[in-house]
Amino acid sequence: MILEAFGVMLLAVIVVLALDRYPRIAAAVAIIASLLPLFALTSWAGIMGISLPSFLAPLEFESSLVYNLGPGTLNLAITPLGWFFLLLLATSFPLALLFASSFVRNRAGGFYAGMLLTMLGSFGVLLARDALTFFLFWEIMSWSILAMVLRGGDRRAIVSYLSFGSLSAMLLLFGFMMLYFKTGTFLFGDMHLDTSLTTLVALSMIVAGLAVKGALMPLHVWAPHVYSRSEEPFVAFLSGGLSKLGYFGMLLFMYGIAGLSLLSSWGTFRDVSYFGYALAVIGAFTAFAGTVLAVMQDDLRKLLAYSSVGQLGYIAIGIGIGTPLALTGALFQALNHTFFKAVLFLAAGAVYYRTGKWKISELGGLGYRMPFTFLAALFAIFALAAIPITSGFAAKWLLYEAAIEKKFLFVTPIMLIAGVGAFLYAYKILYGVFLGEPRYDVKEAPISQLVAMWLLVLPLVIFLIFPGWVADLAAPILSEYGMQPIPHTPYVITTNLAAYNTLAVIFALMGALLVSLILYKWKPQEVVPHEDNYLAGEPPELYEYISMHAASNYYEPFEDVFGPVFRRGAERAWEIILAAAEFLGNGARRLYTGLTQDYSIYILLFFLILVGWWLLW
Amino acid sequence: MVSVPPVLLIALPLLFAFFAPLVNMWSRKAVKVYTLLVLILNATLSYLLFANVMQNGVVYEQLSGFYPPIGILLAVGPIGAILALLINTLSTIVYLTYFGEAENSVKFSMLYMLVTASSTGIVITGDLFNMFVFFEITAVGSYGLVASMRTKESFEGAFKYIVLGSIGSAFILLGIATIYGYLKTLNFYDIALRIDTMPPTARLMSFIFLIIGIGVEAEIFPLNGWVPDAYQGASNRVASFFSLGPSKAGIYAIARLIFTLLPILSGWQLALLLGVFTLIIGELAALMQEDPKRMLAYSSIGQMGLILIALSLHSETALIAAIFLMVGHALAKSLLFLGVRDYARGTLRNPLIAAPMFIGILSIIGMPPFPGFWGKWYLMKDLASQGAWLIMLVIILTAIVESVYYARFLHRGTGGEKRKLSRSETAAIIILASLLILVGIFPNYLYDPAVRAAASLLGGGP
Repeated sequence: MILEAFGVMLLAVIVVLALDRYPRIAAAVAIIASLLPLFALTSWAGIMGISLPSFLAPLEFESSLVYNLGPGTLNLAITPLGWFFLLLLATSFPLALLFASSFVRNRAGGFYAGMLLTMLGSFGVLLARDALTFFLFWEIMSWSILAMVLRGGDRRAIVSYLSFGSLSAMLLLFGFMMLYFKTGTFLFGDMHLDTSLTTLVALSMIVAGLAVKGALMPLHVWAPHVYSRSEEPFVAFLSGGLSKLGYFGMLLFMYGIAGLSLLSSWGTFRDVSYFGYALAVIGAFTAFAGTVLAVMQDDLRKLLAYSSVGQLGYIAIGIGIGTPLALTGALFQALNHTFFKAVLFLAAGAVYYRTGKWKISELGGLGYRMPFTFLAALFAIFALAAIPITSGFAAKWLLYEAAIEKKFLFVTPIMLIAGVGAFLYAYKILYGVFLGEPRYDVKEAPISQLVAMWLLVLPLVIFLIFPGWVADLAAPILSEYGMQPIPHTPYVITTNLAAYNTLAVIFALMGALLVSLILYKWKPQEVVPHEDNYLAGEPPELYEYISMHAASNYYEPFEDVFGPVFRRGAERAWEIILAAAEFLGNGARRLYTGLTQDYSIYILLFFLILVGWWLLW
Repeated sequence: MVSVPPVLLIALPLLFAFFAPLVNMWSRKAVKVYTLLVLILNATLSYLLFANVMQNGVVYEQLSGFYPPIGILLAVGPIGAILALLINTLSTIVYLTYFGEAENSVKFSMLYMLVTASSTGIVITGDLFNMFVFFEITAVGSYGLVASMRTKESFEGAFKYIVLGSIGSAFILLGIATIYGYLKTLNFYDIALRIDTMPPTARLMSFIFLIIGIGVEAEIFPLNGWVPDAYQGASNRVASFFSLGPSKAGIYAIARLIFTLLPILSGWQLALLLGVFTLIIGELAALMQEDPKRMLAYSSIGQMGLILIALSLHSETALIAAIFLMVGHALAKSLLFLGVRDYARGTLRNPLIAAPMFIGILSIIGMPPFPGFWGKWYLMKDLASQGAWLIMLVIILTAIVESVYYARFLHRGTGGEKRKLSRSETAAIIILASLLILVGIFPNYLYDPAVRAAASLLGGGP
């Protein structure tokens, strides 16, 4: 059934391309095709020890498949790790399509075709059991993203995406080929790596190649451009789902193929391998810099893009530390980020759909006009800012504890500061877009967009109450790596330092909320226009040059401090490398003078060199 | 299976080409149909020949009643059959686009048939002098095809091509004379048998002469000065035809030279070095081009370098890679040249053009599941198994450069006004893109012939 699933999805790609003129029908076809990975997921639930009723798993998928293409063999099989990430992708994908059904209006066929191809590629990547299969599907996924970026037509997005995508592809290819040189096989199961330098270089290249897709600094340059210049339903899936594949690959190669003992053989720091420690430091730096950059953005999409970069950094920290606690935290963070970032990008899309604006300083007060969008976004923002009681808090708490447990004096403070930074930009979205003076008299988002957003909020609520379920999902993955799952019950996760009991926290917070509501509402409030607040009652006509919007220059001192350091740092480096390549290119171009006599002389010179070389040799 | 005499592949289009003016006298419009029918006939014959070779092995045919080594021999091995099929099929598809044109030149059609026949001749002949003659016909026909646009640029390109092509021919002739002077034979396989009796000096000199001569046609740096101007000056159709016909015949001739004729170690090393330089220079020069056709021409040079690297590695895996790269490049480049318009603006606004062009670019930059990917994967696999990290690094860095300029190409294509191609052009690029997809998704249809071709070439056979 795996092959048939690929076939049906390819067929659906052709059908939706043909249905370009009928966006609604194309969306319906795409959504139906997008259910295939979901059914595959439910069909394979057994390997995670989950038994589902049969109506949830109507299709029977075989658990492994070997298919001979001629020049190579595709080896596909489901693993617990693959299943976990398939859970993230297969559930958010149909919802992104559902949102798109009302959002995408022109050239809809191409949109759904590209989306289906990205999912097809991801499905293959998650099942891949050899390097050829992994690379093949990885690149299919990668160029279908390019096709979606082309729809935006932004020069920087296209050029940065294709050059970084190509860099990633080539790093992966080189790494796979080095592993092939060492082991003589592409099969993951047969790769028995030794502690040689070649293996270390190969693994570093592969992890770097994967980090491009995971938007780790300094390989993230493409992400803000692509995230901010493509259609929102796609970006929601790209940031929420596809970026996780980079971390899936890191887990697969670092712990599934290489293994903890091999990583540790190249030296350890406080019982964490240098390899992992480097990744954790890069992750921490990414979390910090991404957050700082997000705070400075006025464009809602750019803000969310940098926020994605920052949040993905946390996953890298967890993978780098590599203890059961840290890996559970990383998986939890990946799961949370998939859903809350998808909700936020979709909410941004819904806001744009109604107002046509992206700039936070031009929005405001939409919470009164679009209450359901606001509530979904609010929930996602809580999870993003890791406010206690949300699942976002549980994930970050596990990561903090993992870092504290290893006494990482560099990583831990940076993580904490980045966590506070997330409050800053979360507040900016909240206040700048949804609260404050209503500026637009718009309607609530269409029902399909609301349904998509609220269904994406659902997992956040579930894992808020049952964080132990994530530990349950992580258990088979950890046991594959020879690790013990962390002690937990559905409500309680216990670590060396403390136990996190959601029920206790929920009741305590509910009680506190109730008390504060009673106290707050006791006295009647007077609402004043915020211009009065701003100008102390003076007429606003006198101060036209002051932007009245709360979000404009809100964090100016902050920007003054961090701006010069962080703004466009990695981008400069990229531009310098491009300029160097162009310099070389100009040199090569000058060889072709356009003069026939020069070309004739080249031939003659070449002949003389060859003869001379032979005479001397 | 009907067994087709290989000579028909050359003789029929030559013959029909000379009848074309007669058809023209009867009706001007009939010439296009007539040419298309001839090309379709040739493509059918080449398919039958291909099937025959795959079933029964090498097909030999001696001409004019004399037995080899005195008589001329045609020897069609697997690689010859693959390339003959490729050249004839694709030239038919590319000729389709001529139907959308108001212009109706009998000369163009004649030259087109001539060059198709002679390019096919190069890949199926077993005789060195015969190959030289076909090279000459290809070159002379190509000069005419480049100039057929009748613009300033096309005359300029044609002139450069004539000068450099003549120098190349002179070198080929010198090489042939050297070999003939020592061995008194021109048959490839006869030469291969007795090459050891030649003094090493003469052997190396003849190798140098031949690789320079053939290198001009095969677009190898530093012999390829004509390439950018000729491709830029030529019409889209002709540029597209060049990248599937004459250039592939040229690279085939190099393979024949380094595998059959003069399999000497220093020759492979030289070819490898040339390949690496061609790749680097071609890709870097393409980075800075404003004109999309010129950019594609430089990109072709880079691809030729890649194919040459694959050929000169002298292993089965690398040869399979070379064949995938040749097929992929022929399909993708002829597609891109057909679809591209001035400054590429707006080329990609029309989905019917955008999708095939996108697929063509993906194949060139080596994205799966297209033929270019299989070629690159196999090439890297072979290099990795030899531990040739430096060459791998070069290929990887040039691939990144390649993706940067194709990204700019794509960006230009998405902006500007929506372009329209004629119906026949759209049909041709859609057919070419479907072929790319088919070869990419079912690579085993090319893989099995490629394995045979590699074995045959490595064994010193046709």
